[in-house]
Amino acid sequence: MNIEEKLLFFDEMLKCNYRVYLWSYCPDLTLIRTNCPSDLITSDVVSFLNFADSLMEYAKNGGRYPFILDTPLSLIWIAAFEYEDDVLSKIHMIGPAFTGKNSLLLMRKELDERELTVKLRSKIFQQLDDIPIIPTTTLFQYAVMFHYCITGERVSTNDIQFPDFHTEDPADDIRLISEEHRGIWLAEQTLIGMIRDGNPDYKKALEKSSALSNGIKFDVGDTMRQQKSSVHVLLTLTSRATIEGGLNPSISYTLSDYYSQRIENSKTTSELTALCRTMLEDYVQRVRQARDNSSVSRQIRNICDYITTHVAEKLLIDSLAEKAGYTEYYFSHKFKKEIGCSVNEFIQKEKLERAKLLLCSTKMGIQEISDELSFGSRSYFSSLFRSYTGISPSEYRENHLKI
Amino acid sequence: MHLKPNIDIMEFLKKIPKCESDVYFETPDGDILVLSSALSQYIFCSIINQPELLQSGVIRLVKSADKRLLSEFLCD
Repeated sequence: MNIEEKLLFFDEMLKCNYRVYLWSYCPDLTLIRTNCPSDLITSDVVSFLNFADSLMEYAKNGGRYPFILDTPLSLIWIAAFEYEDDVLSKIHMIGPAFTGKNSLLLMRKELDERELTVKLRSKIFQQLDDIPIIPTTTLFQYAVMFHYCITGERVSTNDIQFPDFHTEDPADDIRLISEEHRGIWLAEQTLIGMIRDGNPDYKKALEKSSALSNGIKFDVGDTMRQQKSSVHVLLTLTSRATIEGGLNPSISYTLSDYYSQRIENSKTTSELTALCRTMLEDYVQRVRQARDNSSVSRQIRNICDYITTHVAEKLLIDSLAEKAGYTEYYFSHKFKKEIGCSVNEFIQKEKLERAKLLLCSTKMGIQEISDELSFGSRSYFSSLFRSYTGISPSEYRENHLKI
Repeated sequence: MHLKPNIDIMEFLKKIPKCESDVYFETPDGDILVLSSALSQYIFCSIINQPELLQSGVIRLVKSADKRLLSEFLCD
């Protein structure tokens, strides 16, 4: 088969699932042919949707991989390039498609808001209903196959290219650093760490984290949308942290899908806030349950949580044993048996982990951190830190500072 | 004003962003499209296949300077 026959066959194969159309252009973007009915979309789609500039620029720069073209209307096309003796001979496209049901629904909603006459609106709706909804992952697989039909070359979806939208001034590192983000990393890491450990005291960390940041800073002009985006981010961080904490990945991902839908269904801020609390509590309880099923007893788990939460305080084994309801001897023995290290080693490890976080996310001095975490002296702290990490606190800060 | 017959609609739409103010297309049925919007352009292009609708529709300009810019496409 020649390229044209392969493309027609490919298009027929695609049409078994989705009604997408084939478009072929000369290098100057003159339309050679399309099998798209003219009442679906104008045949001069390249001009109409302003694809010409990005297509020409990509081709001029020697682009050979599949190229995705999308529009503010959420319609999407795939372009692939045919070369003869290293000279571009044709540009082929398949489309149009919507990448999700929401794209179509949003477009219909916008049309509804325009108060068009029933006659015109029905016509447009009919056209839109003829445009297939193809999931992005499927569409990208089609792009790979489309490229193969034309070039015989096997590429991956990672090779697919997109138009360059860098129209704004180049990002300026200094401009990007906002004072509003100070302390957020520390608060967030503390919160996520507690969720990962199924620590019921996570609410205090959440309160601190929420006081420092209201979430994502971009303004979308829709408060609910902004709040929902922030809760989605928290959900993603939570679901991944709980997997690290021992929750079965399948359960975590399923919960994530479930809560994503509920976030989107929320109508008011209070509904969303209540949902967020339920969601975190659910995840934390499930981590605790998963851990309860492990070889670590609930009493020892509670003590570990207590140590993590009160790591900055001076922690004594006898008072921890009392909290657990055991004698000091029995508690120490049981702790080592279940956790694998002594109580003091565990406390020390938690303090050093917190010190690492403070070093990379605050401007606190080494002495301050030593005092904050009750190490006793700066030299003792530095010596412990070096034996734990292999480098000094100053070197660690130099390598990992995140503010 | 009306659109001249047999004009290149894409060339006409390409000129719209250069206009100083909004350009409206009003159909005889009373639909009003602001041609600077992508969705309106989509709707506008969907009626290209009905030349009688295009010809009978009215182009309304807010600024007279835009009339000069679009003169090759418009007639009274």
